Amino acid sequence: MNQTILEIQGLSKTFTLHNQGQISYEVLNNINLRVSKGECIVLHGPSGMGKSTLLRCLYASYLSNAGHIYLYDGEQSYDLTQLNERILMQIRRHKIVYVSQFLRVIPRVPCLQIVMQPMLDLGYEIDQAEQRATELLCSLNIPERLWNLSPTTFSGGEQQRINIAREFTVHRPLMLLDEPTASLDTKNRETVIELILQAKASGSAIIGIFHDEVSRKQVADRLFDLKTGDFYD
Amino acid sequence: MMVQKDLILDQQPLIKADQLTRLYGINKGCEQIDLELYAGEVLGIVGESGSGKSTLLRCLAGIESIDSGTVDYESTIGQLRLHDLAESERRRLIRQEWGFIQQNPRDGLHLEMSAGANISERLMSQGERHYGRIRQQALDWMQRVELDPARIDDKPKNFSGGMQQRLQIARNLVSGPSILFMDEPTGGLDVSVQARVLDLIRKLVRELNVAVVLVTHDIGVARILADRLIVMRNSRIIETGLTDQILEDPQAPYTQLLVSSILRV
Repeated sequence: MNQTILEIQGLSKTFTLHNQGQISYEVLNNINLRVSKGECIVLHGPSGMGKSTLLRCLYASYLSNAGHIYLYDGEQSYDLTQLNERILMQIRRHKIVYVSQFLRVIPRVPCLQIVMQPMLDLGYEIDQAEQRATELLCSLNIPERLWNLSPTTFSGGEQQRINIAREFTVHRPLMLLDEPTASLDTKNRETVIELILQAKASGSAIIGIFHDEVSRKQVADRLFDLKTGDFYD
Repeated sequence: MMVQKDLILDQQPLIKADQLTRLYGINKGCEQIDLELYAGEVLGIVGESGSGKSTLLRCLAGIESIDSGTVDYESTIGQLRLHDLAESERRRLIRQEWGFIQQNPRDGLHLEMSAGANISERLMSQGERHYGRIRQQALDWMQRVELDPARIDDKPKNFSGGMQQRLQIARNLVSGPSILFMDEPTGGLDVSVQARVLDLIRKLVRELNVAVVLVTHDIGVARILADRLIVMRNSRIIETGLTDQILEDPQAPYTQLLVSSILRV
């Protein structure tokens, strides 16, 4: 019980803008956080506090300036701040779900293919991937006539649901959710909350940003204040 | 393919360059390059014109001689030190085990030979002699690159630039290469045609699990195709990282300038 999946130690992030007068600004300073299996921590605080920055550091899209990010996986542990790119790519594919705020896709690739891709990358058979993808697209109310279209012209809410479908196809031990329920209507929001609760039940450790209180109350075990390092229930 | 449950931590690189140098003048060419390329990954080399990225590509592919350093290739018959090989052996590698996509498809095709003959050439040089099988493979590949199979006997000199580029891709992939080298593969194409060629490359590369070294000055192309990036300037590598990390959190001053100059739609 209480098995730790993620442990953040002394994490700091400062941006330096070399072409804008060498300005440096600190966004994260000495963050310490531990997330257990099946636990959901919601990052708390106003916009601009560095909540999304923390998620991006955890996904290694941003390089941390100091500190460590340990991902525990059975007997293995990986420090995400120290890994080479090739291992990091595999860790992402196998161990980390990251739902960003915006769907970024390649023109021309149809929805169904986008949602299937993470499973195909892991070596699942096409039939299996297609079955799981259509299941998720249905539960997220993406009409079948859209499945073979590229989502580049879809509405914001539709794009976000495609994004969620893609990231929820396979269980992975760590989930990073950046406002997954923003711009969704009530019905779809409930579906996404249900998916998150299922992921928790199957043991994923979750760090998320949820601005709407309804979602937050349903999924969060604890709130974490980035500025003070305090926890709230 | 099996579902891969565990991470592969101790993989051998297909290509390993160690202190590779090839200079034409001060800061012209490539200098002290260390890099590794692994099976199935797409490595993008980005930088401005004259930064040395095309020279590096040609050295890695063994087309260009080098001043110093080494390039080792992990072939099916063991490790080969590329620039110690006889030129004939290097030519065999580039024709049979690898592929090379030229920016200008007219440099990579026989314009006076039929599309089918262009695709078949590598199969025949690998020893395939059965006409029916060669023809069938050529037809399959016409379809895979979204060319009308009815045009298999037409000469590519009558094709559009986008069609020629797709034919060049088919011609290179038909032999099942382990590595594909690409020099600005969409550089000469209209924007409307670019997306189609990029999507095609992305799809085929994944299906065939071929490793790719892609040279481009277009960050948009790198974003779509590359898993990780090498940024070059004045003949040297100045930054490396996962593609999204380089684009979202560039560290070197030049990389920051390069990324902030992208026009966003």
